[in-house]
Amino acid sequence: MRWDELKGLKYYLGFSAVVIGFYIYSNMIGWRWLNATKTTHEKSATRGHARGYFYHK
Amino acid sequence: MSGSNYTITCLNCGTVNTVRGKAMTLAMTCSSCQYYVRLGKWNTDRNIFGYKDEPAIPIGAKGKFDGVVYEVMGFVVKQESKYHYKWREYLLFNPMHGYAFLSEYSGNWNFVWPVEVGPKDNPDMEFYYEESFYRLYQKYRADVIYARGEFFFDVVDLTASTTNHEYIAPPYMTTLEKNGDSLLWCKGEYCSPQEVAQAFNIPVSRLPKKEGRGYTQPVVTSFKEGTLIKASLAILLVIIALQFYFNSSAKEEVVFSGTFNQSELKDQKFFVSSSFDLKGGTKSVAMDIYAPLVNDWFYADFALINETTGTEYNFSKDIEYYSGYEDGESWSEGSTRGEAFLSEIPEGRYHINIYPEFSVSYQSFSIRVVRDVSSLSNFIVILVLLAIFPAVFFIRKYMLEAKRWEDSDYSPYATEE
Repeated sequence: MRWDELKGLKYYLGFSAVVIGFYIYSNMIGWRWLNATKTTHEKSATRGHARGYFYHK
Repeated sequence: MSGSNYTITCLNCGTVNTVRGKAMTLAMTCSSCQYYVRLGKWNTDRNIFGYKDEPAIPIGAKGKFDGVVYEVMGFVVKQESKYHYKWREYLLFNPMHGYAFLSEYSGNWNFVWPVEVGPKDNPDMEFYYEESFYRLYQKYRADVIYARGEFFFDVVDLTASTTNHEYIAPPYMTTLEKNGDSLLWCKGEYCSPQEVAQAFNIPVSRLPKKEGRGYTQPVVTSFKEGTLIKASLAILLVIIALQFYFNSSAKEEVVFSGTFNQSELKDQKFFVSSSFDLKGGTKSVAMDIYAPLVNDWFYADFALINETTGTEYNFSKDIEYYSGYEDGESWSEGSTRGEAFLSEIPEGRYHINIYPEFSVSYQSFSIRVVRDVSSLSNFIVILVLLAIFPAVFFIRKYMLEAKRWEDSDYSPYATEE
């Protein structure tokens, strides 16, 4: 397989490179693309538990 | 060959015709009355054709194929004997490379040249030749119904007396002309109308309009099928190697495990885990939950809390397990275990708040928190993503190949009805 034969596949190879790069990045930060666990983020202003009711660690 | 002073006078109309092929020309038509003559032996039985056509490429035009300049010597229209379809052929000549043909059917072109060594004398339905796999596409006899220009053989009688076999391996074709004991093998290659127009330096609009796909037209011209297969396999190997690396490098460290009993709940309505550290930058966290359920369900809201930043990651988990004995068989559905997966959790010190809903059949549950867990789903998703193009290509190729062979009596895609 010569390199010039791959020219016709440049879009597929480019797409593959981008997807593989994204795959590597995702695995490095522990990002599961299809995750059945739905997670919501909240930021507590008091550096404690963000819910309104009582809690003191 | 133009400019030759080799001439012949038409017996029909008296026009003096210049013979560009000189002594090589064995048959020609009069430029004025289209009278077809065999030089050296006049044949008055077939003097004029009952059909007329205009060559899209004029006689005498010069075109370059693979760096070789050919001159158009003759033009014929042939008609297949059985189904009566017509196509056009141009006889091309180069003094160094000899003759070749340019055939055109429904605006689809093939450049065809004779070869000294053909595939074999008695070809089967299919064979390998010059690293390509050829299949018999059509077998036919034909007649010349119109001719114009000069020919190095008696194109009318030769065409009528030969049986033709055409084998294709798009974009290539091989043709076998059998005439008694003599065999003539030719090889051909598909040419797009643009390539033909460019070769003769004429506008493509002067060529017949292309209809449908040519029977030697490749599915794609920008790459080879084998290249796609090799590239896809290489990509697959890269992905497998990467997945193997991520699987083996995932630490899967248990950072917390504990069991929680309902009796421990007093005034508060939730449990608080002890603190634990998540290390290694931003990674995943998986939580295994176990509840000893029997025909019951467990539900809890969870909050993974970063004690430094106050960021909460809220999620819930539902576990169900039912079993029984019915009609002589025991059955079960669901599980007493469940997993929650949290993506992109930064390092830091964390604890978990758990808001459970207890039922009557159980009073406890356990959780186990694991840091840096590999994911198989990403691997499956990327496999699917990168398989789309090859899959679509081969499905489309199959459909186009089946359509290509619809006009053939020897289609490998034909099904018995």
